[in-house]
Amino acid sequence: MIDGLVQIFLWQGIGELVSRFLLPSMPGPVIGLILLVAFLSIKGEVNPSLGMVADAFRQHLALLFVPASVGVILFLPELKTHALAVSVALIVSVILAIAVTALVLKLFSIKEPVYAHTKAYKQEMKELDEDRRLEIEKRKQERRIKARQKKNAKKAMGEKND
Amino acid sequence: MTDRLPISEIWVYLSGDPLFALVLTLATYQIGYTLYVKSNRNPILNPAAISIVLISVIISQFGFGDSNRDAYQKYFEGAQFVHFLLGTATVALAVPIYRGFAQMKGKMFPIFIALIAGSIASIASAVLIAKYMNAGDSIVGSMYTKSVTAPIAMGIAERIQVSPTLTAVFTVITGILGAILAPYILDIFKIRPWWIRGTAIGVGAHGLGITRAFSVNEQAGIFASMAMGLNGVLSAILLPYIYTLLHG
Repeated sequence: MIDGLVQIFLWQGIGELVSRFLLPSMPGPVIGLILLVAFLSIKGEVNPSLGMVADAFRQHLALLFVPASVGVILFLPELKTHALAVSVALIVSVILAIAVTALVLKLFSIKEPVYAHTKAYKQEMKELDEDRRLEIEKRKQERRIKARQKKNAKKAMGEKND
Repeated sequence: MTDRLPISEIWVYLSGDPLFALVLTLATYQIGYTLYVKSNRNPILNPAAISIVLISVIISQFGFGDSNRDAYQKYFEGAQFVHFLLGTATVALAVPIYRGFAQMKGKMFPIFIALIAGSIASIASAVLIAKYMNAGDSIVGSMYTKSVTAPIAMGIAERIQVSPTLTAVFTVITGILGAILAPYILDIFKIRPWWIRGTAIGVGAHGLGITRAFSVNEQAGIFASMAMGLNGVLSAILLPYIYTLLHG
């Protein structure tokens, strides 16, 4: 576990250096992240120790920004006066973020199944086909019921005429 | 026999020690996390939110400093050791991104376009609504950064000089809202493939959404983590330009 942590600190350090001297518009850790992705892509695997540290961080990411968030006690009066604006802005933007991302992907996945050869895609299609089959069957069933009702109605009419 | 210290003096001694702030942070988070797990992972009981509320109450009510500003400064002196790890956590996001890459062969282009569209929609709507409703400069400023996963958002906030505190708070609220709303939004638009659901949740709901995505479907979780990290990187690149464009 320690060597995973050391590896991450190392990339963070390199990122900070690059940010300071070459790319001041980007935060150092983000540069470190990009470099580490490149390194992993070249290496072709994540060693277990690094994977473990990364998973631990991802799981409890929220803990790390608690100290900064507690500063909210300094903004309470300001937030209270603008409570409505803040809530509307946050709710609308969350809904749009999720909806836009999902709809764009849906649009692409209908038009361009360039990844049709992958296993994941085949599995997906299988699931979709299953859904479609169920839908068609349901429609057939409905038609059958309607036909039967019509027949019964006709029969009733016939009996009346008799 | 040694003199007994009165309680208040013990308190003064303890609250001046960095260890106290650290223990307070970790213990309240642990309480929040236990509640969250016990409640079957109900997004309203967000561990970070519980921790933030508890700490705020404790340090503002129990004589931690003369004013709130004082109290917070004292608390942060100890808690900065946790705060420091944000950068490290950002670098660690490389691993889920890399794992996602392995699964997204051929989907790379649509995912990039969707992430850019999603984050622009999210940033623009938040900023414009807050601006239109006259929410004040520091709130509007933090609306730029709040759609990004918090560790990266804080880095960006420092670069474009908006409040990291409000950024963090808005990000936590966004995560809660996203985790609650995402299933309904995705069902309304009849979005079934797991990878699309995962990616959208990663953009909208951050960390908590991801843990939930993992518990529903492995693929959704992998895509959600990847989307969250990638969205952060794209935002770190694009946000300074968007900020000068809308703000300047």
